Amino acid sequence: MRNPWKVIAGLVFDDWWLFLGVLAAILLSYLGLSFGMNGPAGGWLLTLFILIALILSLSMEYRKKVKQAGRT
Amino acid sequence: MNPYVMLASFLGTSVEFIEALTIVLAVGMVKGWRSSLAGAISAVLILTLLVVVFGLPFMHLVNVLIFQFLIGLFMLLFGIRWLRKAILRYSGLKTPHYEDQAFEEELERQRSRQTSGKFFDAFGFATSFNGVFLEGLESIFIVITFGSAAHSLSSAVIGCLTGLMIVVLAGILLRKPLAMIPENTMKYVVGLMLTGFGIFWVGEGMGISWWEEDLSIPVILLLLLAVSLVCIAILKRGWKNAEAEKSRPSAGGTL
Repeated sequence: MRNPWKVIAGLVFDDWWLFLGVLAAILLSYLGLSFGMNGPAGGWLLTLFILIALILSLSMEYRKKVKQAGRT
Repeated sequence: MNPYVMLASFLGTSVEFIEALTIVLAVGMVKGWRSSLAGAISAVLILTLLVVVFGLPFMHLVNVLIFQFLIGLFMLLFGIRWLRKAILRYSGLKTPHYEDQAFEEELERQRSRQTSGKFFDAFGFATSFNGVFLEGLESIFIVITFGSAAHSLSSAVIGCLTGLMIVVLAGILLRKPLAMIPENTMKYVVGLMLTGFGIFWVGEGMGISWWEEDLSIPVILLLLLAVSLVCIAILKRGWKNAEAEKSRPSAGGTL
């Protein structure tokens, strides 16, 4: 049986970029809201930051795979 | 009986039930029906128990925002991980590795355990439980709010129960057509959905009032789908070029 907490830990240790990106997206959106950004805009900002985190994580993985392929 | 309260309650709670149903169906398809339905039924039982024990003051005991944030974060973390894997798999970055073979073997092993009736997936249970618990909680709030405001709680309850029956029936009917979708596609769709719901609930938990409320969810899903498709196309092309580049000098050497 796969433990959900192990999967979360796996996310933290497997892919730092994605984890940090999601964390940063939430924090930045929260800061935006604290500084008076309106609700819907804050929501779209959160979505945008999470998409950026995903793209960043994918590009890091791509670079890693290309490097590995170049070595072999 | 108040037909307006009944209709408002029916429409409001149906939206929540449909959201819960999509999660239960998606988890059931990927992680097995036993875990998914057990999670959903447990959530319904706990919610019923809470309402029976606490009654109407239940509304003042629960801070929905905290639940939304925590459950949203849980779904976002799982969903985005699945989505990332699906993108890597579709772009060809994951297939040449043994990891995929191991995944297939694990899936096969889980399938055989599932058929023997012993299989139970904690992730499937937790995801289904969280989704149904949160949506059920929101439905209870809708029923109590509409029912109390119009002094017609019974109309709100009837509207809610009608919505629940229709959505459950739709779920039973949708089960078979969904079973025909390939495993990888299903995982991709589940990743998209969990990420979309996760973003929405994390936002709600942070106090964000989304544009057109729940209507934002399909917009977020479409955005995620568009970005993931673009990522797949770009990564696939880049990876093909990288592999062609790699095979070029070795091909020259053999000549």
